[in-house]
Amino acid sequence: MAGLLYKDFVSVSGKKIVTILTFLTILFIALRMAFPGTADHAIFLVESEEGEIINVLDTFFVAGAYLFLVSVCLLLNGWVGKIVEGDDKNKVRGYLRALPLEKNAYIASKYVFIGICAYVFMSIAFSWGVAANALCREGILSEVLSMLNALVPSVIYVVLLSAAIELPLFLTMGKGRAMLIKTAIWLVIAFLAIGFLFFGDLVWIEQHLNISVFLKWYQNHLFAVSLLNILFPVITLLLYYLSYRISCHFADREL
Amino acid sequence: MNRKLEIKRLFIYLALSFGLTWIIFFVFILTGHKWDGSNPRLESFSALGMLMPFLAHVLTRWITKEGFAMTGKDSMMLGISLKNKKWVYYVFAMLIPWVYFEIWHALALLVSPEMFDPQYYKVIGIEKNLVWLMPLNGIVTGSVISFAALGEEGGWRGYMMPKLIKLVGTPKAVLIGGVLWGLWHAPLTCVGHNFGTDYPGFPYLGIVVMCIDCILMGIMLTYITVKSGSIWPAAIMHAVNNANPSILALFTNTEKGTGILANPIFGYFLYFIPTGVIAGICFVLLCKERKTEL
Repeated sequence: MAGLLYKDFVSVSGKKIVTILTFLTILFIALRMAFPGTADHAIFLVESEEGEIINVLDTFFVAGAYLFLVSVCLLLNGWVGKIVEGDDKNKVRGYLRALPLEKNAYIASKYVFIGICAYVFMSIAFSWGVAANALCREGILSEVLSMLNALVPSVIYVVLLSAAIELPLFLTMGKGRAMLIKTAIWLVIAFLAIGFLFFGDLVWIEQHLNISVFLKWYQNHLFAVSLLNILFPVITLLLYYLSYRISCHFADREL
Repeated sequence: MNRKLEIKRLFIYLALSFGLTWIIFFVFILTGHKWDGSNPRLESFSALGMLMPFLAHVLTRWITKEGFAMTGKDSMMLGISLKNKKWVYYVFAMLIPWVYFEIWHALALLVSPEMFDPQYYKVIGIEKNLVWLMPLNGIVTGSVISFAALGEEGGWRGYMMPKLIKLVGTPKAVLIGGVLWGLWHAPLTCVGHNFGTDYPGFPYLGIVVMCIDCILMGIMLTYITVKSGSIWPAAIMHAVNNANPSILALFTNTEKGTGILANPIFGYFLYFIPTGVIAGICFVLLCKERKTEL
């Protein structure tokens, strides 16, 4: 299993990614410590429309933490295809099945690899949120960062669920056909979105999809968010395991 | 074993671990902050400090050219193996904090029944429907979001304890390790973390109580680390412990305590009863283990 995991690590240029992530994380924490929002430098303080004093420095770090979360989610989602693509290209799968490995070791390695990456990315995203929030001026931006820390697990679980759907497709159909299906689904969603932009009520979006409305919604639905936070990991792991069993089932039929 | 080299490595680790963390804690103190109740900002601050022991571990290995083996002897103990019934230690890590937290609060309510407040969960902002889910919340959240606890355990159990056990043997190692770990918390204890500032003998009594807590916790955490050969169960247990997974805690208003429990810091002596018993059992079992197993 360790060998299979290392193969996937190499296929996603793991060393390069680890170096970049480590550098970015240290840089982010160092910059945050050098420019804490809690220090009241008058030149960085502005008054919001609501009359709240905000430290402009905080806005950069809040944006950075959110941007990082989105980036790692996209990266992780991209890796699902990448770890299968390499095997398709080099005809590794047939070769591995001929080796004296446990029956489902190959499929399990893909799930474990994505699972480990999800945990690592979640932890790094947390450390960004934690570093930004620890030295943030009290107020709305601190709340936005607290919200980020509450949302990080949920967002990562969504990526894991997406992987749970994609992995059986990629493993049974190969990258080419699976990507075709994936692209078709995204195109339908994109067309629906464009259709909404042409014919939908854009004023509604402006009124209902902005950060303060979202923050209010989060504060009013704390019970639902808490319940989701408690049960979501359990449900996600169950579905992830179910997806693994489905992949094994299809692999058995192929043989 | 090259004793001199191991001592040198241990001192480098301790200097880095204390140095890096205390820089962060002193930034907090020198900018005029106090630990005035728990909020996401303060929790973020302590979480940032909690990452430093692991960073110190990595830096020490890099400086002393010790290598970065993930599993096996003298490794970082980052591997996970569930074979040979090692999964038991993961279950232990998830459930045991719940057990001793419930016993602690039950004891506190027995000693001072005035603390029982059927509406207290509302005061601390927990929805009624969520009360019975709180232990599960602590266990799940602690298990999944264990990165901050991993930061500490990666340093204390992943590096310091194996070195101490090698150098001075298990009984002395858990004592010295616990005191060091307790002292590491001292700057935050001095601004009110865990016990507040309103207690007799502040902050020295707080530091002593923290050291006792760290010795007892340290024994349990070292035991599951040795038995599982991994720091993950310790990280999970530490995280679940920090999540305070207890139903009775939601009905225990410590501000209403009378007698010896009028000051919350003395409530910790009741906490030491269940943790002391469990730590005692772990200590006996741990001493039976050969020190070379780490």
